[in-house]
Amino acid sequence: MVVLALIFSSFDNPETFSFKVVLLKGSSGKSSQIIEKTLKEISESEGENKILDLKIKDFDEGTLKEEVEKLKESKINAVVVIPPDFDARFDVWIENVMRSSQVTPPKIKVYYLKERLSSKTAAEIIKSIVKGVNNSLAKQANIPLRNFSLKEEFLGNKRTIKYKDYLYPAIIIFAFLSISLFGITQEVTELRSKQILKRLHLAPLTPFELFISFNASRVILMLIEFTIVSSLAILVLKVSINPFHPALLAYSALSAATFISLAFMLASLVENVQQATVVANIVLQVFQFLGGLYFDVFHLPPFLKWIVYANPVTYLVSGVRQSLGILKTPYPYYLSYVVPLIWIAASVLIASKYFRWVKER
Amino acid sequence: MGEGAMKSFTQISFSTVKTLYRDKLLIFFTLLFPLIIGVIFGAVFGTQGDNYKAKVGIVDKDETLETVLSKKKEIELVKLGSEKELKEAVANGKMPLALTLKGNDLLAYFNKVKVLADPYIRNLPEEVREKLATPEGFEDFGIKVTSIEVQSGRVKATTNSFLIPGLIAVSLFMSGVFSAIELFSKYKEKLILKRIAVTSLNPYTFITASLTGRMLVSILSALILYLAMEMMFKAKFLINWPLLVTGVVLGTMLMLAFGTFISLISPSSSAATNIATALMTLMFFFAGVYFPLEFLPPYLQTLGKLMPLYHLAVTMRMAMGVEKIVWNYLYTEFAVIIIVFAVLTAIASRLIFRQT
Repeated sequence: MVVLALIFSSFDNPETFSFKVVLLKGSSGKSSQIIEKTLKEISESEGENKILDLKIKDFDEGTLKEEVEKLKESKINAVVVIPPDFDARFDVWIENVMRSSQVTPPKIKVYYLKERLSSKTAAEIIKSIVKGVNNSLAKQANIPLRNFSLKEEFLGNKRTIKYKDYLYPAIIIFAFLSISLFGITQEVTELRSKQILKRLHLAPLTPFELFISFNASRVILMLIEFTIVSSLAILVLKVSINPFHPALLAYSALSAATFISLAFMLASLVENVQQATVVANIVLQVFQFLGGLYFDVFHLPPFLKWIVYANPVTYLVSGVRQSLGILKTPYPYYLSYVVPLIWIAASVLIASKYFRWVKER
Repeated sequence: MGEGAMKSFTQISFSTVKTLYRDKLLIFFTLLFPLIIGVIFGAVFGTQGDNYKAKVGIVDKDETLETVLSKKKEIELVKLGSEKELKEAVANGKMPLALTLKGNDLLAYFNKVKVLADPYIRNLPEEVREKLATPEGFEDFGIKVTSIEVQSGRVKATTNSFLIPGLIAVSLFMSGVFSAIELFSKYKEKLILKRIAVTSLNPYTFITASLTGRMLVSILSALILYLAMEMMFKAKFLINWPLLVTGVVLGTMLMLAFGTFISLISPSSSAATNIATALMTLMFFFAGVYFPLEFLPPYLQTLGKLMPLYHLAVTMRMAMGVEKIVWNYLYTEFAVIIIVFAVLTAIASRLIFRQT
């Protein structure tokens, strides 16, 4: 959880990003200094986090080639070039722009790597800074800018959430799934292979008592896991969700029941420990990544979407998120508990029909 | 090596290949597992490649916003009947953003979770506001910014062409690490090495032949995976074959060395497997294979670069033309791999046979 929160929580704090930009100036007149000065001010702004880490060099073809090579090696995020004729063009443009729209505006170039999100974002930031400069120029030229205000609102969640709040219930569900698959499917298959299950079956305990005691041990593991994850979430990552929220506890219980029954069903169907390991791993990977635990999965192509909609994890995690006010479910809410209940019923039926105490020869 | 030793070496290498391909667990970890992950991540993140368009909703009567937004090729405009419908669609996650104009107020409705994965959308309302604020005839007023796309590698990279070399690196990692654990931990526990030690076969011939067989399995698995992923995602590569073959061979050696190291420090084979699985999970996230590391805090980016899987993934990307080849980096990396592999394998072999 810590790893994922560290990776994705940076999107919650864009002010922590810093982009390495190199400015190559081909001219040093008053006009090009407007761009240089604006970029410098932003890079020298007070505070810990500077969005721009700016280096300024004189432009020539050799230096441009060097810096573009550094860009290709991802050592920097963008290269801004103020060409040598910038000042001359700017002067002609500013003299004539109000009289004629045919005047060619002065240009600067921004080199970036499209496949790198950080480079693309750096290029967008530079464009945004230049837009700011253009607005100032417009005001100085007495161009009547229209007054539009922007109001933003986040929907789908009842309160302010960060990625770690989105992730917290998902990690609990993942932990329960993992304990069930490796603690039950794999373990039960191993006990059957070693004929320990056969000996337990011959003991004075009823099968029901055996199942209950085995499941109780797994539930205790789940409780321990719940406590550890919640402590980490509250104390270290400072999530805003109450771990004793009734919805979180209810969905945790439903998840435990769903995955325990699923794990027994798989244990009834596999033949040996190797098969159990393979099946457990496949189910774990497919269910966690196609269950919407870490990112949105409802936009996938049809050949994967059916897995998303058949997956009990999808309903458990979406259901608990809606109940906690994090995000609305993209389907009728009642499915969040109906589908897992269907999985429980089907798993119990299949397990009771196919479960074996003894390894067949 | 004498004729007899050469014959033993060849026979053991090929029997290792045959044995390993009967191992369902190995086939799963080296082929199926990276393939499953590749299909999932390729579908999830690959849809955000060159043809990706973010959905933005507006009310269908809003011609002003339609005029501004229709010029943006990264946007797919969705028109709904009313503001209420827009808000519902955003709240239900059907789109990350909806915009509506009320007089001189531009209202932007975001879906927080959808926007997390799409930083461009986050800035779009401000861009639209500025366009609206600009009077007619002055839309092009101001200094122009010409954006020039630079291509890092020999081919134009997409999300899938970044992912596939990383998955090949994962496959090499799995087969290398788990193979080394089997050889140095499991064989020792099953007393196979003890039985080999009492035969006339030189134990070091056995180790070298087994490692060679495992390397062949690694290379074959990586090739099958590459062909499968290329067929599925039709990503374009310009492969530098000598570099790719060298990268695959040395990458396997690196992972064998890593698995050997884990075997040396673990008390048993199951402990070694558990340690390898835990490290594998950590590496998947920090090695930049599935998620970009660019937005991680610097100390975590440094941690990622300490992981062998990170460097193997970078080497694969360079060899397949997705990233620029940096020869100094490669030569240093290859030298380190050869030294580490030779030292660790020699230590492991001596220790194993001394203990049997």
